[in-house]
Amino acid sequence: MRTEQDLAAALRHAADNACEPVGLTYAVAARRARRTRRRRHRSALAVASVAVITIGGTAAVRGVHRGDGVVPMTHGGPTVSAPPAPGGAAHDATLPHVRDVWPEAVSRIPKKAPDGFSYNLLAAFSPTEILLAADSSFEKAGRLEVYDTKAGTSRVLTEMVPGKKGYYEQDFKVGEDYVVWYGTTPNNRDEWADFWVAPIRGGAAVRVGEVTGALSDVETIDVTKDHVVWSVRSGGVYRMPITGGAAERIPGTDGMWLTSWPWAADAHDWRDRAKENANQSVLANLETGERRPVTAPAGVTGMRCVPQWCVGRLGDAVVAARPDGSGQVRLPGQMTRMTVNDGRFLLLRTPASIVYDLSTGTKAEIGARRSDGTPSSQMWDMSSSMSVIAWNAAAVSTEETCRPMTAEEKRSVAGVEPDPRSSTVCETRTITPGDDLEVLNFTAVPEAG
Amino acid sequence: MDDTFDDFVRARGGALFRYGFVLTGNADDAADLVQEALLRLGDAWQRVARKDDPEGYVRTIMARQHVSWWRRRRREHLVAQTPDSAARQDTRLDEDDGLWAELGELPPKQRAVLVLRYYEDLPDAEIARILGVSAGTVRSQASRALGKLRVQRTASLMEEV
Repeated sequence: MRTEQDLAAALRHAADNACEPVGLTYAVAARRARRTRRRRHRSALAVASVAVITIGGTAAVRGVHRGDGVVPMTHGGPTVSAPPAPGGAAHDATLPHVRDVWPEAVSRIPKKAPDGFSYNLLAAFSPTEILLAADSSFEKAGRLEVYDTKAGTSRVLTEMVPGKKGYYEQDFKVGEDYVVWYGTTPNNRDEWADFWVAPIRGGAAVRVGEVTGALSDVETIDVTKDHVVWSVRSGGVYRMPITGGAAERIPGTDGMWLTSWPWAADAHDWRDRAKENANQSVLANLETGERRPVTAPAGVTGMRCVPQWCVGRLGDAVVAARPDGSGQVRLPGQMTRMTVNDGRFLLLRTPASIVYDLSTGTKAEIGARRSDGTPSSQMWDMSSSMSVIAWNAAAVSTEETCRPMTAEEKRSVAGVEPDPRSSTVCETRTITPGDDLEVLNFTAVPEAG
Repeated sequence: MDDTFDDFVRARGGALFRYGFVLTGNADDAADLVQEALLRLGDAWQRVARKDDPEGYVRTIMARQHVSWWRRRRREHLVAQTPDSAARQDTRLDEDDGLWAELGELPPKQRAVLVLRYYEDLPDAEIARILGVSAGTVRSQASRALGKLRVQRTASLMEEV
């Protein structure tokens, strides 16, 4: 039998090991700035909306109505100045959109296949092709397709083999000869995963094998010409022959995590709070055995590297530098994930979402336009391999509907709000019209210079 | 105003996130919860910073919000284990993991009661105030939750049930 002390210890232990997201201060500042814009926009139209308080998700409480008319809330009130982003970067309203900066890398893809399956973007397949999952139902991939963005046509790469109950395909990665993916049964406690490949030229999907226990805690997956390779959360890079056979740990990969084959790092990904501040000290090439030391500039923490660049935190700012510590650049925004895409691109929030090209210093905004002309920095999706980013092609808008609070909602704000007795709850829904997504394919951005 | 608010977020954000993590059981929902609560704190900052305890205010909002607007996501499983669980062999810590996983099965209100009582170390009367329920409800929710988790209750609690 367990004791109450066991319960307290389990809670404390979980809290101590929770991985704090990078940039919480920034995220809150950015969201406050966005809400301020909305509020300002509306205040000319509706005198009653003196305060907007987000409660959860997209719900918001605003002006308290009493029997004798509208009374402003006694706290908050309209905030007119947007908090500056840490690092001194203010939103640059004149920043060009990525579709104007790299038109050759931005294209349109329909949201749905002709048979109604919805497309889920997986990865760049080539500079003019995108790998898509056509989902038969929510996050159940029916087949993999390759969409040709020049021709505007799609071909089926492979049909997915239905898995057991509760089975979901997780990350996909495009290699030179194969597309690889793994699947798990995330909603039960089984420590289990299986690996699949499909030839890049098309053909039947092949189930390579399955693993259990710690080996199934897959974090990053890739594929070589003869092996599926993956690293697990606790560290170590493993491989399994595509022709079938046992999984084995690649020698010398204790305490290493795969970044993108053949490169591995000796620092863990950002989800592990205990380790996220450690700097990577080596770039390991698992194919050649080369171990290239990397040097963090003074004061930098949480540095993560690809062969071309490293990114890390310096106080409240994010900086990039070459792996030897030279060429330090202070970046004009924050990163939620310390990852360099395709050897040169960073995704930053300024608070608008922008792509920053380290090789040229070029900045370009991504995301859907809002129909009222304000930036829509949150409206984008990134593929798991981070080689493509998509957003609604047509301008998006928001629609607000208001209703009186339910009894439970009133209870939830009782005592912390001045007088919630007759408050209304307003929900803001984002309308994403049209049938197309706009997609940035990083591999199609022209070489620098 | 924003300077002191930002300072508060910077200084207390980590602790609030960890509190959100034990309330929700996963990092994504914890981040959402703490952000939403901090947005509301930001709106009320002048009033709260002047005469109330901002941290108490934001923790209260988080507990209530978790109960009211809690939603399960498919992603939850990804962090259902504590991050380093795979590396640990110690049986005591394995026991932690088992408990942690089972906490994920509890309804949000029951989980909130346990977090407030065993993580925040709050008395039942205070938990009742925070959640806007009666002390009797706190006791019955705690009792049900402890029963499900097969946690032995202390004698004083047994009497109250």
